[in-house]
Amino acid sequence: MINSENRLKIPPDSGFEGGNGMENHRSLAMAYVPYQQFGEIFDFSEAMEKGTVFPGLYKPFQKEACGDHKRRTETGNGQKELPVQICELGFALYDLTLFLDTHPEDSDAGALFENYLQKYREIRKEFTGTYRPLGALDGNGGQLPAQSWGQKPMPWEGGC
Amino acid sequence: MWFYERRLEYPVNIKTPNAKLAQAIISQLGGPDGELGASMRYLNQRYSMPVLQVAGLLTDIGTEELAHMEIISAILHQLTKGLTMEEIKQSGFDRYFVDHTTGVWPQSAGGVPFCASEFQCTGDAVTDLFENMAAEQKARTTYDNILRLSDDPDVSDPIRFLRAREIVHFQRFGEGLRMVQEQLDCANYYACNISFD
Repeated sequence: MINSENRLKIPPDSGFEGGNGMENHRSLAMAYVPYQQFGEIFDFSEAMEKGTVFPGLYKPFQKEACGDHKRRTETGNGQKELPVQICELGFALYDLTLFLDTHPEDSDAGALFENYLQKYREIRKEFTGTYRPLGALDGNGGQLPAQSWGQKPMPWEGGC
Repeated sequence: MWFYERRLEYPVNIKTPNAKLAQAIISQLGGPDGELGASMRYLNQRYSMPVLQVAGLLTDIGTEELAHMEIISAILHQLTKGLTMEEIKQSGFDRYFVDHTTGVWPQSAGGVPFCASEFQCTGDAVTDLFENMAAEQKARTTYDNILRLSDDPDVSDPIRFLRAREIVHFQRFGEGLRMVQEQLDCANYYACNISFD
């Protein structure tokens, strides 16, 4: 039985509405994080700079205001290099994955994910054909992934 | 199972070695609030998480933390590359060097080796999610402190990225907790342990 004395008054539009079909029950001796609603997201480059695609989750440290460090992402003709594209799109997909883990019914987020995934698959195919295999089971003709470790640089030695 | 993607989640390109900074940053590898601990915490908790979407979340975040551990290790590797013996002796890095040379080994900045005591898996869905939210805040504070210590933009750049991820993870675990709360009686969330009962 639910005791109404234990319920707190929640203001509307506070992020505590049933964003995922969840009921609005609150009690003493418990903590509640507001449920994020899907909305506008950063473009890929800005998302990498800020560490998230979601403006609402961008909470920089005060020291970040000093010394603007811009990542070099473009070649002379304004095109982003393939490794940068893979990195940025891969990151946007992963941040969306985490959102979808807790918002499995969100069709806007789901549709965006599908859209990005399509593009990611194309870029990945181009990357593995041009640079090196990314995964142990990538098959793209030529050298097998296990045979290609000698190609420098290793991910931890620099580059993207 | 796991597959490896042969790239870093965020690039690390450090031009200037710095043994002193490496000694501080190593805490985010093997320290009490570091990425290795975070990964092991979440990946181990998922077995006793009965809300399956949340078990999925633990898997996805636990996996991302392995990628973060890799970024920290890359930072440490690049910060200790090309050090002179003079720099090693002057910086106090000699205490680490004697056992590990410039290899990467998980310990805290204070020299405590990584150990499972640095994370918990209580086997209680509610408690584990609070553990995780606390862990993300502790990691964020550690990154704040590293940003205070670093005057190298090549280092601060990936560190800022990693710090931002902790805040996102905190939000996701908070949402995971809401999903678990849904399964419980709000009159008494602690009447039982849904991971066991």
